Parts: sequence; C-alpha cells; structure tokens
Amino acid sequence: MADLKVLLVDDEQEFLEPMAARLTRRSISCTTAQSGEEALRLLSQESFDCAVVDVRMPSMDGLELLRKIRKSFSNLPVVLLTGHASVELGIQGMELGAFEYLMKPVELDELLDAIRRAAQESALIPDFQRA
Amino acid sequence: MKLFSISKRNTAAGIPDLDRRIAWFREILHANNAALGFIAELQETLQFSNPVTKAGASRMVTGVMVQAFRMISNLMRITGNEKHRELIARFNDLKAKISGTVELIPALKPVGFVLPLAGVGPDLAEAVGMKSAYLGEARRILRAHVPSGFAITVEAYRAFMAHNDLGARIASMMHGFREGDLVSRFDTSARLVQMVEHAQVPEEVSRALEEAVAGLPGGPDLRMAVRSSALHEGGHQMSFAGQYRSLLNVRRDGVVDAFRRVVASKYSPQAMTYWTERGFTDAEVAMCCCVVTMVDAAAAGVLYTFFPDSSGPRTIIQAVRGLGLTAGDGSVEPDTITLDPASRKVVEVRSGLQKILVRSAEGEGTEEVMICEADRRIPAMTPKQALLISELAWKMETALKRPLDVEWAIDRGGRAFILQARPLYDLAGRFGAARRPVLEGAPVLLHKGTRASGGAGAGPVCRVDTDLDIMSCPPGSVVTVGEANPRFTVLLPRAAAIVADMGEVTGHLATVARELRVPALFATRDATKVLKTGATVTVDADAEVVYAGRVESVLTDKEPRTAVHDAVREMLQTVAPLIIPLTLRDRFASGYSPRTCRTIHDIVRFCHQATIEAMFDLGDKALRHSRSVRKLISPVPIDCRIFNLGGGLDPGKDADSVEISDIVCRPMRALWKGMTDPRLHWRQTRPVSLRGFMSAVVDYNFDLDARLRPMGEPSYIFVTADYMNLNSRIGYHFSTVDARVCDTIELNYASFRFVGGSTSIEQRSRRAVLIEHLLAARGFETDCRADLVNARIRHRPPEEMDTALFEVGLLMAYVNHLDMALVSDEVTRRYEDAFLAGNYGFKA
Repeated sequence: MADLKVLLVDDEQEFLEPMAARLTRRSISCTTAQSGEEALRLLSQESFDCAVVDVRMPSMDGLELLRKIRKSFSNLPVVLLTGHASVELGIQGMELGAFEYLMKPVELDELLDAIRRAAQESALIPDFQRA
Repeated sequence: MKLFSISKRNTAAGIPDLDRRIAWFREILHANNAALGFIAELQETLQFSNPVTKAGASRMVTGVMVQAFRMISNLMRITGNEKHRELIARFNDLKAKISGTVELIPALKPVGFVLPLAGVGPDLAEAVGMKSAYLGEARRILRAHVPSGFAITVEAYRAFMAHNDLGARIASMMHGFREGDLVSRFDTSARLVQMVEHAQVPEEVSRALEEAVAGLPGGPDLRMAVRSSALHEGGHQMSFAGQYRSLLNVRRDGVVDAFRRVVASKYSPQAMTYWTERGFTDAEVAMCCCVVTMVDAAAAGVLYTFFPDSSGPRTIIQAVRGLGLTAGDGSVEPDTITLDPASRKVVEVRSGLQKILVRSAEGEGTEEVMICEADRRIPAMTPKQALLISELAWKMETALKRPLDVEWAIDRGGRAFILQARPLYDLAGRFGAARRPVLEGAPVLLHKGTRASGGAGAGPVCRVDTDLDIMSCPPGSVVTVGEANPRFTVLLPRAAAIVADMGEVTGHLATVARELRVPALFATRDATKVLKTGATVTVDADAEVVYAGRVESVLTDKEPRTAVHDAVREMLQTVAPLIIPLTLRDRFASGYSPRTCRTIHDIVRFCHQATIEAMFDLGDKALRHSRSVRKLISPVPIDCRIFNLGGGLDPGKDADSVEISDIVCRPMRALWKGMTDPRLHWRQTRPVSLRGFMSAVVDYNFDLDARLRPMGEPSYIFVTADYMNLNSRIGYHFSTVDARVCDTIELNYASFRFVGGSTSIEQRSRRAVLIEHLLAARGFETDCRADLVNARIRHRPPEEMDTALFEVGLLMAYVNHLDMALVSDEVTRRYEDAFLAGNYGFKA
C-alpha cells in the first residue's frame, strides 16, 4: 500500500501520541500538531495527503482551521474528529468543505478508512472546489 | 445552508467525469451505511431500553444527521443541479426541530484546576459538577449564609487520572466489575480504591489546591469540608445521593490528600453500583470536589423544599444534633419538621431518637459520641430555627425556579448555613402510584412502615447486616435490614424489594431505591424480626404491607425495571419520530419526492435511490453509448441491472442483456455461484428461456403477499474485473454486497449488509441474528443491531474470498423467504442448524 502522509491536529497530547503511533504501525506517515497555528505552519512546509483535525481546540478551533485550509491548501482533504458530537458543528464543517466527520472514540479502522477515501477522492479530483 | 460550487467542466470528456461520479457515489454508499447504522442503533436503544447517556445519544443523532447531509451534498454533486434543492429545505426543517431538542454541549473552555465558589454557577456544571455549580449559585443568592470555598474542577480530576495512567488501568478492570458477582465486585472495588488512594497528585494540581486553600479567610487552624461533586455526563435527573465521600474537619495541609480520597470514593462498592447501574462508563463519571470552610454545627440535616403529602405540598426538614453525617444514613431517627410553604408556618414536629452524635475530632476528621439515654430526645432545632433555614431554602427555590434538596447546618452561635443545594428530582413520580389498599383476604405479615420507593416485589427473605451477609445474599431476595444504610445500595440492582426497620424516605438508600425502581418499605420497626429468612413474601410498598407468599395480582402491574437516564431517553423519544420511521414507500407509488420526505430516514432512502438512478440515468448520452448498463439473465428471480465500470463484462458480448457466463467480475461470479446452487429452494423458478424468465418473474411476484410490491425496483450491481457493489431489494429486504477479490491479499474484502423485511420487528431481528450467527460461523466479523446486520471478511487470499462470497450467496437465497417463518427463537435456531448442515431446503 502506498504510504500516505497525514497531519494529525489535536490539542490533547494524550490522544495525539497514541493515535499517531497506531497510524504509523499501519504504514501511515503521521505528523502531529497541537494547535491550528502549528498545523498551518507545517502545511506550508510539507505536503500531506490528508489532515485529521479536532473540532474543539482552545486558541483556533477546528472549523476556523478548516476555513484557513480550504483557502490556502484547497487540495487537502480534511477529516474532522470530535470528542463532543454536535449536529450544528458537524453540518457546518461539511458546509465548509470537510470530507468526513467522525466522533471519538474512533476505531482505528474507521479512521484509516476515512483517510484512505479522502486521499483517493482528492487525488481523483485535484482542483475540486468544495466551498 | 451554503451551497458549494461545482466545477462545470468536462461533461463531454467521459472518463474523468465518470470517475468523479463514482467517487461521490461510493461516498454516498458509505454515508448510507453509516446513517442506517445510526438509525438502527437508535431503534435498538429505544426498543430494548438500553441504557443511554447524553454523550451516546448526541453521538447517534449527530451521526445520522451529518451522514444524511453528506448524502445530499454528494448527490447534488453527481446530478450537478438544482433538482434536489427541496431536499435541503426538508433537511433543514428537520434539523431545526432536532437540534433544538438535542441540547448542544457547550464549548468547554479550559477553566483551570480550581475555581472560587463565587465564580461558579449552573452553567459551569460541566466543569465542576452539579454540587459545586449549585453551591456557587447558592452563595450568590444567600451570600454569607454559604461558607466560602472553591471548586476543584474536572480538569484537575483528569490531570490526576492521566498522571498515573489510571484511566487505562481502570478500564481493564471495569469489564470484570460489570460481569462479576457481588464477591468479585467487592474485590475489584477494593483494588481500585487502593490504586487511586496511592496514586500521585501531579504537582500543578497540588500547587493550585494549596494556593486556593491559602486564599481562604481564617487562621492557620482553619478547618474545611471536602465534598464530592461528581459529574455524570448527561445525568440531569440524578440524585447524587450520598454515594461518594465527604471528608469533614480537614486541615489546611490535608486538602490535597482529601481530594485524592474523595476521588477514590468513586470506586467504592456502592458508588460503582450506582453509576454502573445507571449506565455510565468510567470515563463518563468525573470526580470533582467542593471545598468549603467547615461549619461547627450544633445541628444539621436535610431539607426538601417540595414534598408531596396527602394534605398538599410541604417543605420537610430532617434534623440531627451535631454534624449532619448521620442525617441520611439511617443510623439515627432524625427529628422531622414539616412546614407549609404557602403560609410559611410549621405544621408538624415529630421528634426522633438520636443515640449517636457526630462531631469534629481533635486532630482531624470526625468522631461519634454516644448520647446518654436521658438526652436522646432533645430536639435538634427549635421551630424558629426551622423557619430560618426554610426561608433560606425558599429564597433559593424561587431564584432557581425549581424544587431543591438542601443540606444545612446551624452553628453554635445560632447562625444558619446552607451547605449544599441541588435540584430535587421528581419525587411525586418516583414515589409511584397513589397508595394502594391492602388486598382483602391476602395473608398479611406486616402492615406498617412508610413507602420509600413504590412498586411491589416478591422473593425469599434475606436478612442482611454484615458485609458477609451482603456478599452471600442471593439475587431476587427481599432484603431486610435494620438501618437503612447506604452501603446496602450494592444489593439494590438484584433485589426484589428492600424492607428496613428504620430509615427515612429522604435518606440516601431510599433515594437510590427510587432511582433504580426497587420497591422499598422503611421505618417498619421490626421487619427484621417478623419476616423469617428464607420465607417467600410479597412486599407491596404502595400499600405499605408485606404479604406471605407470592401475591400475583399485586405483582402483575409492575413497571419494567430499567435503569435509564430519563432526561436523555425523553429527548431521544422526542426526536426519534423525526429520524427513524421510513414513511416513503414504494418508488413508484405516488408522492415519492423530496417534498414527501418526512423523516431523516426518508431523506437517506430517497438520496440512496436517487443516486442509483442518477448513476443509471439513461438519458445521459455518454452512458447510453458506452453500453455500460445491461440486464442480467439468471435463474435468480431478481431484476438485476449491471453497470460495467470497466472490465467487468466479457467485451465480446454486446447485447442489451447478459448471462452469468458473460460476467468477468470475480466476486460477482462467486456470489452468483452461491445464489444459484442446485441445493437451493430457488431452483424451482429457473427460467428456460427469456419468456420463461419473464413468467418466472411474474410467478414470483404473485407468490408473495399481495401487500408487497417486490418488483417495483430493480437491483443494481456495479462491476469491474475485481470489484462488485450490489444493491438489491426484494420486497422490503435490502441487501448490499460490496467486495473486491484480486491477487493482492491486502486489497481483498467483502462487506455485506442486510436489513429490513416485511414482518414484525421481532421476526426481522431474529433473521438478522440468524444471518449474523451463520456468517460468524464462516469467519466473518459481524455486527447486529435490531433488524440490521453487517458482516465483513478481508485480507484473505482470493480463493478464500471466493468461498466466502459463495457462502454469502447461499445465505442470501436461503433467508429470502425466511422472516415469516421465524416465529420463535427456537425455530430460528433450527433454521440455523439446517443451514450449517447443508440442508438448504429445510422447512420447520
């Protein structure tokens, strides 16, 4: 399977590290960021196949980050991952162009599947505008 | 709702356009699967009264809503147009109603480890727990009548748990607790308490606590009360009835350790019983604390601002001398003072009997003191003091607009304090029905006491006193106890009823009995003597009587005893009709349009159907010329349309219809081999010629119940050389098979989903279970909810995948007629055994 490069963005260290480790074991090359600002910085330096973003983060929340990603890195599919399900935020995320919306606790396979689908679809549709 | 802009390029370029459509199409199938899964979960939760938390409910509702939305979005991308705009309007309508009901979890901004009580209110309940939140509010309303203090937040709790990796260590022991008997529960509990009490409090947390303590007014010898303020996520209607620990008379330097011990009390046997019975997981219960300046109480107790009585709503106070620890634990008979909140007068004073008094000990903590015989009936408070406390409570009740359960104290100087206030949840409801009369002619063993929790239960009497008694008490017993001590709550989940010699309806044990709906009769004086161990008795708490033997007429109209989160369940029941029912019927019935979608399920079904039709849209010239769509001729009496995505069919064959021998698609060939196996029942309808096929189809039609319109919709199969996606509908049975079989093992998978049927939910569910068992026996990973079953097998060599698909084909044919036959679990098992034995023509 081709290596996929994923950016994992979440303010909770206790979630980030084990999840990155698990994804790495499944041949995903995983970079982590603990804030929106850090994420944007990393995105400007390297290219990724997919970003997995926590919706609720203290300084820049997930939707704000999503907006910025859609604007500056329109090819990058974003999978939203949240610990607190919310209909409004979920749909807002979709309207803003997120690829998928997953809820914690998320099964590794479910997340992997979403990442693969996201990467596949955006490879197929390089300049597809979502929002 | 914002629309996305669709790239309008390349409708003529053929392949890229198709690729994109296929990508969106696969997303829709994925979302469809996910949405139906959430719907089935909701259905199962409501149907079988599964315990559900607020987080769980939000998850299901959000899941189905977001996936439905994704289906609409992707459908609109495929059709690229305004045709389905109405769907958006319908969806938004439903969303407004549903979101409005499902409370949004407020954005939790970090608040730090400690918050002063003055800065805390009900809006911060998720950060500090209900007790602290309400006490903060009480302080705002009553000022100096509430001792100063601070809240230890959920962040401090989580930091503590994370620091010692406790969460993971505990999680591995939780399963054992749930499945174990009482003995192993006690053992697990003891180990958990030990683990927490010996864990290290992280430095940032202890520093924050020490600073907060230093900031409290009072000299170096200030004493504090450290109380639990637990957060049960989503548990609005929870009494928090004394299941956790409060530590009194704690010194300034003892607060950090007290915090740790209060957290450990989350794992005491009675606490664990309480929150596991209510359906919470370990992660959903956070132990926050409330630290307040200690009141040197001369008298203390509880107060309910609202208490239903035969003469009307009352305010009831229970008072003891000394510290209020004994007020709810059944070890003393408190004084009871009843007031009329309307006239603001004391209407009744009933003096109790207090043998023990609790006070602050010299060093730290509390000690019990025996009261001499002569002094046992000294009243704890004067009517004037009772009024004083009541005024404070009524003031809060008015401000908070709800009835309250209040803990209070009066210090040696006569000053009144409120130590705790929380919403009183529905006593009237929990007390159950109106009182029942004693049954004529039934053998009465005991006719006294007070109903502490309504209902009736029968079983053999089991006298319980020591911990050893607790552990050896058989389930289904009528438990008799002397004092109504909270440690007996561990018995409640499996008890038929509980009868106590002493105990108050406002006490902890009574409150939990009501929550868990266990019939309870207290203050009987001598039930422990009158009711003989081992004898079967019937306790009718509503009639306040115990009969000898089983009295069926009293037992029959019991409410099912389920531990539920009422507020959450009610919320789900409100939104369920907007989500679950499928009101859209036949594609060809009149009124099949976005406008007639009344529920989210309707929208999901409509999108799924519209997508498939869009993919097969023969109005699209590009598709028509590509010969992508063919009709399948086969012995299987389903109208199948095959969509060749490339490489799935023999390129040499060009007719409008194809036979199985023309199919190159490997997984489909395997599936069909199973479906057309000679041992199957379907063989009878094998057509000889095309005309024969048509008549076979017609016959099949008329074989089925006239209510059904099975042939209304064809089944669609997408194929490539190694991939297939089948969406089949026969009557109200929906099957999906999605599979890939090639030489690369890591890419191979076969997923199967089966849902629906035309009979009752019981029979459909039985069929789902049958399918689940049979596929699991063949090595599939399975997952079954109500009438939906998902199964998957993957990463096997191609030959094994062929065999698996063959089995699926056999099974699909086998179960086709089955749901009407599955009249009982026993019959279902026989059909399972028949299939496993290769007896595919079996009829029970």
